[in-house]
Amino acid sequence: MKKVIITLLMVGVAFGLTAQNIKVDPNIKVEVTPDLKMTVGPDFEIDLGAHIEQAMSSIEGMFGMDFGDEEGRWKEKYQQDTEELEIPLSKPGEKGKLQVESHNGTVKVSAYSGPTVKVKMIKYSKKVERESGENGMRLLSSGGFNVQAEERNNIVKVETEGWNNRVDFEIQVPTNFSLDIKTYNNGGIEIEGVNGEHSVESYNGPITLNNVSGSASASTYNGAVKATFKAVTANAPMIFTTYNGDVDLTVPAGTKFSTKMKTSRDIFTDFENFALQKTTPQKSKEANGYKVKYEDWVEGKLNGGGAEVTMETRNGNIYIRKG
Amino acid sequence: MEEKYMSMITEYIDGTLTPEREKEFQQYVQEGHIDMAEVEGLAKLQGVMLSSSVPEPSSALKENFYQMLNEASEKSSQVENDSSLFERIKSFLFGNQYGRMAFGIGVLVIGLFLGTNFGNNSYKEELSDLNGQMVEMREMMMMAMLEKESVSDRLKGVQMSSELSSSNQKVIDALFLTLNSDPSTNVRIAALNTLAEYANDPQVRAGLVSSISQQKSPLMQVNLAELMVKLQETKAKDELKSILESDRTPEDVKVTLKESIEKII
Repeated sequence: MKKVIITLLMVGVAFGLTAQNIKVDPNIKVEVTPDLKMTVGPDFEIDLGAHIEQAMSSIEGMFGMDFGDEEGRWKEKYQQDTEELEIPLSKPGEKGKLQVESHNGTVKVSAYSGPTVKVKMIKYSKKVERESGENGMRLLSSGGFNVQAEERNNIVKVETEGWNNRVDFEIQVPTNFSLDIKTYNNGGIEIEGVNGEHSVESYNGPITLNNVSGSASASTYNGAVKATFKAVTANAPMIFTTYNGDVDLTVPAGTKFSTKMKTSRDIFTDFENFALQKTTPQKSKEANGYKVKYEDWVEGKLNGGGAEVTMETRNGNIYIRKG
Repeated sequence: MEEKYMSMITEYIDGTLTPEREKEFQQYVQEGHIDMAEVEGLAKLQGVMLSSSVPEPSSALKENFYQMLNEASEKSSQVENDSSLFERIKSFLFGNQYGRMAFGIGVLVIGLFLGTNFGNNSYKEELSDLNGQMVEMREMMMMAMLEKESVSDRLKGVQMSSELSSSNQKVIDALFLTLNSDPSTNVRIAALNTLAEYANDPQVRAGLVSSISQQKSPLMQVNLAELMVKLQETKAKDELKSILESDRTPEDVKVTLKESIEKII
């Protein structure tokens, strides 16, 4: 199992290097010695033992389950049930809104040309046992799902309660839909091609907005926040926050906005027309108290500036890319 | 008597005749062109004029003169006030280019003086009045925005509040309401970022400390903890410890919070 992790880590290191546009010398040799010291090229050495421990603990934290050998057992013990649901809209063809709230499980939303909202639920539950266990008992039912869906005035609400049973959602909505999605554990969120005003929140899981238009607010704790916009609503403030992971924003070339960024790592952009503003610590006395500006914000103007776009992470880079 | 003899006679009287002119003079006298008696008379007159003293004007004359002058000036001043003085100023001002220019500049200066001293006062009052109304309107707008359903609108509301003055209690209260109860984590983060700028105000600082226990989102808890480290706010320690003790707090968040608590000395 350790071998698996080592290869994973190596791939990760290589990916990290290429992502930062550092050319990897083809002559660099990667050697892993039996005492878990990895040497890359001539100059640097990584103690893999420590990294593996870290990786293990963070992976365990992310999925709330054991990794590796445990996964097989997990699959043995759990079963998947898929259920599909079609929700008609009271005003088909008009703008609508989808609200999803879930504590355990991923949410994928994609735009399609149909007039209804299609919800596919993948439920994970402990396998019902046919044979009795050691104590003469067998499992008949576990947890139970409570998924509620309703539609009112083109607003569709989908909710699950309970933390123990994971439900993944795959939802299709008409193109002009606003999304309000909240997840928590195993809570990766993926959105594809939807045009509207989006608010997505998770705790454990990355957030990916692909090819969307309109405006967005995205927040998670463990995971990257990545947003690729086809078009951005002018003058709409946006905010992208995470703690562990990159914030990666791609907007069309002519987009104007003013950014406020904070990270303990690096900030990158490929926009030529990006003016960085030095924020010096300001302390101005006002009628009733002080106003203090902390210097850890990096402010800049894209194409002359516009609505405020906030990007915050702690352990991750910030990218602003030209789409 | 003819002119040409006149000059010879004056020269004769003065005794400046040249011998030739003397002969000529005698000849004229014999011929009867010049009457010697007349010449004697003229010589006598000149002698009298030269010897006589200049008569002193009497005091009466002096008084009379000034009286007459006063009378004359009084008389003329009545007329001059209407036309002559005015005429003189007019001719002074408009008579030449410099005058006209000076007049123009003078009017401008007076205009500016009056404008800044009198006109502006009411203008300023009006302006500050309008400004106050604007602030009030912005406050109302901000409150309305903070209550909107759309996240983007609420973010706008938070941004508007950061443009308003911190001394405004209504604004601070509204921001705290958003910080503690807005359904969107990102809107709460935006409110936190704005309030953090006023953290030196003891009241704001106290509000931020008491907000810690009200936050359920790990990102908010961690962001608040980091702010408390920056402020070195020891009062926050207990609040942060209560989050550590909660079963709902994920383990990795606990690790981060513990690190923050240790950094508050």
